[in-house]
Amino acid sequence: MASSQAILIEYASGQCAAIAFAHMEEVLDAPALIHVPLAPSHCDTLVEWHGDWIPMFDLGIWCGSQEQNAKRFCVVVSYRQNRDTPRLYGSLRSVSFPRIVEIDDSAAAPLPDPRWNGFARACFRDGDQVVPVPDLPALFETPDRQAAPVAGGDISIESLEENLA
Amino acid sequence: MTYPLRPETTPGYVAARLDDTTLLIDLLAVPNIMNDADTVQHNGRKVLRRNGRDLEPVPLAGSMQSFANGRRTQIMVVADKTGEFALSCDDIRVLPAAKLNVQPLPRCMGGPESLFVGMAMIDETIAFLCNAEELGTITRHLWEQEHGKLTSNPD
Repeated sequence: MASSQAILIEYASGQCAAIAFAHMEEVLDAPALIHVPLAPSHCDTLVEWHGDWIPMFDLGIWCGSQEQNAKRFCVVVSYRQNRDTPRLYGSLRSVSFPRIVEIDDSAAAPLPDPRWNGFARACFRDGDQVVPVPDLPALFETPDRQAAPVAGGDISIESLEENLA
Repeated sequence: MTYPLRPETTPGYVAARLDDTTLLIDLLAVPNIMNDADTVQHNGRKVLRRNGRDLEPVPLAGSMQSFANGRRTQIMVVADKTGEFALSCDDIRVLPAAKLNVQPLPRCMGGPESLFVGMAMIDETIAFLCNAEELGTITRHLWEQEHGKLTSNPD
């Protein structure tokens, strides 16, 4: 059975999302931040990274978490909208330092919340946690007005290996 | 939302600092930059006299959701489809478009409440590009919630 490595990002206490190893660029500890007035609360901060300012997405707020924990880590991620388009960068806020897990297709699980429909490429179980794999282009390239939760079924998960590639 | 992000569409930008936030506005939407000394007292309010109208400078806070308390001495007059409005600012600079590299704001930062469409570095500061119409809408709405109609009527 195929297995893959994923990086777990704890976006709220005890709640994680995973990204493929290849999508992680860097983990920043307490980076310089700039608040963007009137931006959606889950994405109202720019992070300085190698002289550029990239958006910081707070999955905890996006998922409705009310906790006020300091999220000192910031995981810089890269993605492409298509194979032929340039690499783009964003970042995900994390409560703790990211950790690596090994998973295989037998861990595939339904999404924990309909909010993730259209914003996740896969989902798996890690111990007693259900861990979505965010679709980074959808997350970073969708204005908030289009990011309303979608009621309905779960995404089809053919292969975790494929979606963590 | 469309807005000129290419330097060739505008000769320059006005960078206006409100607290910790620097706004960037198309120079063509700013008919004048004035200061506190240009104001007069009228009906107990401090106003600018422009083209036979009184224009009341609004001390919009950097959060864009309230008003600043501190004293500001510079005033930017902005024209939109409704007319003109004035913002009191901490600092105002006029910069040629060719000197600025204006980038679109990340798409995930857009939303129903969003005001900004782009951003540019000015020295060590990020300035946020907005258009006059939306800035005018927010300014009038906030002011009228707290103080009644914004003074910009003919005498």
